[in-house]
Amino acid sequence: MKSENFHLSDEQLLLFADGELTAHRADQIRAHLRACWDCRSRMAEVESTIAEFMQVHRQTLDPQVPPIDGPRALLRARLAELERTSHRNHRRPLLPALSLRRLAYLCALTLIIAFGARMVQHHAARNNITLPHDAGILPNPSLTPGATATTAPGSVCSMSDGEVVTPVSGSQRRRVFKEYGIAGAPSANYEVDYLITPGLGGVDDIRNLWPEPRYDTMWNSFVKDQLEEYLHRAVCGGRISLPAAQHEIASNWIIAYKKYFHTNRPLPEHLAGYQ
Amino acid sequence: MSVIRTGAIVAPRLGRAVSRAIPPKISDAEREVVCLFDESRSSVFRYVLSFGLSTEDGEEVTQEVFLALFQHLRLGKSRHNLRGWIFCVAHNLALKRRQVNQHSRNGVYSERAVAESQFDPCLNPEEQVLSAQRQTRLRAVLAALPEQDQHCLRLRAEGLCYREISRVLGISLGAVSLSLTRSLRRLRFADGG
Repeated sequence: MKSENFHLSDEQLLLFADGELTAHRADQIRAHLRACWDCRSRMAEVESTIAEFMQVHRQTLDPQVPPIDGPRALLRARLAELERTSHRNHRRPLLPALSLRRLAYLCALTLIIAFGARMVQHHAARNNITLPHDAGILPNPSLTPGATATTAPGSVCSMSDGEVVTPVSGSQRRRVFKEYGIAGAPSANYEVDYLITPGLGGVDDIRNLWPEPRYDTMWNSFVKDQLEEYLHRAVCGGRISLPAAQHEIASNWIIAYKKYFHTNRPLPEHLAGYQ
Repeated sequence: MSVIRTGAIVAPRLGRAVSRAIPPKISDAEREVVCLFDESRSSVFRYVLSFGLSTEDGEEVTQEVFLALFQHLRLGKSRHNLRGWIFCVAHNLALKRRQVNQHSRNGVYSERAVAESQFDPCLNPEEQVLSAQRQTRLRAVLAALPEQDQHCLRLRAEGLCYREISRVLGISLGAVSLSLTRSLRRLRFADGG
């Protein structure tokens, strides 16, 4: 599988340029950029536009920002005043400072807030408002059981970056979206991901692809990337067999993640790019 | 609210303690706020100005931001991501000030700003003309962007990461990413055309 037929989206280029991707994803993009002149030239255009914007931004606003010395002195004086005032107020008991009218107002406000909160709870319970928060974090097994080309670790461990990083074609993405009944969904919200990644012997087959949420759940594609990377290293390091790794990631990647990272939630560093 | 004019600082009404021979003891919170002010005042000021506020209003709002930060720290509230907190408060105060002034404009890239644009002395006259034309095109595109997209761009320009921007603007990370991509694409086409 080669990557020369695929190009990175503008969004992927910008996320990469802004350091918003996980290390694994950034490595994948870097590898693609090394191989693809088209994406590299678009990357240069993105950087050049950022530079132009920064020039306009600074040239427009910087002349209007006065020197800092005066405002700093003013801030310090105000802080000192605030400090003294709050010291004085701190010594004063609270209740005498509140008039009866203010107390009555506070009581009424508290009652209104409590009543409002109760109404919201009641309304939510009656209508059973639950967000489909974790919808799609696991593929539908009847549509995406997983598909592999090999069970020999030698073949996956000798893969080049370009083979491990195998973007899914636009037409394949559209097929997957259609198959999952979300043809009209914003494509940026999903990554059409391999259930069994090429780095673990998975293939570019619709039975091995599903639309994985990027943002709306903590169990998102960025977290799965970390598991894929871990399993690839574990297979190539001889700590786990390739068929076992394929089976675990295809059965339930979240359970596999919890097992290998010894956690019930994604580790904070794995959420560095997205949450 | 007192108005501060550039270069002419209004003397604050200080208590008797100021006239004492021994200067008042600086608290940790005060020291920290001044430090953060030194670090991020220019960024906050630029962001606040980008709401179309005058320099005087921008200065006052910036001061209010750091006074609020002082109270925040003194009350022992969360110290997590203070930079994000600062921009969040700056965003809200600037919006409020603009509403009060009732003279909101289409962002900072106004005619006045265009007239004030600077020329790069390193360029020859022909290059300067081209550069000015390019900047004018960019400003026109910026001014035409939806306000939220402008905020995203400006916050990113001031060094905030996507997560911080999403918190300041109350939108998802995906929306930040899409907004920046969309805006840069528009700027790119403007730059080419």
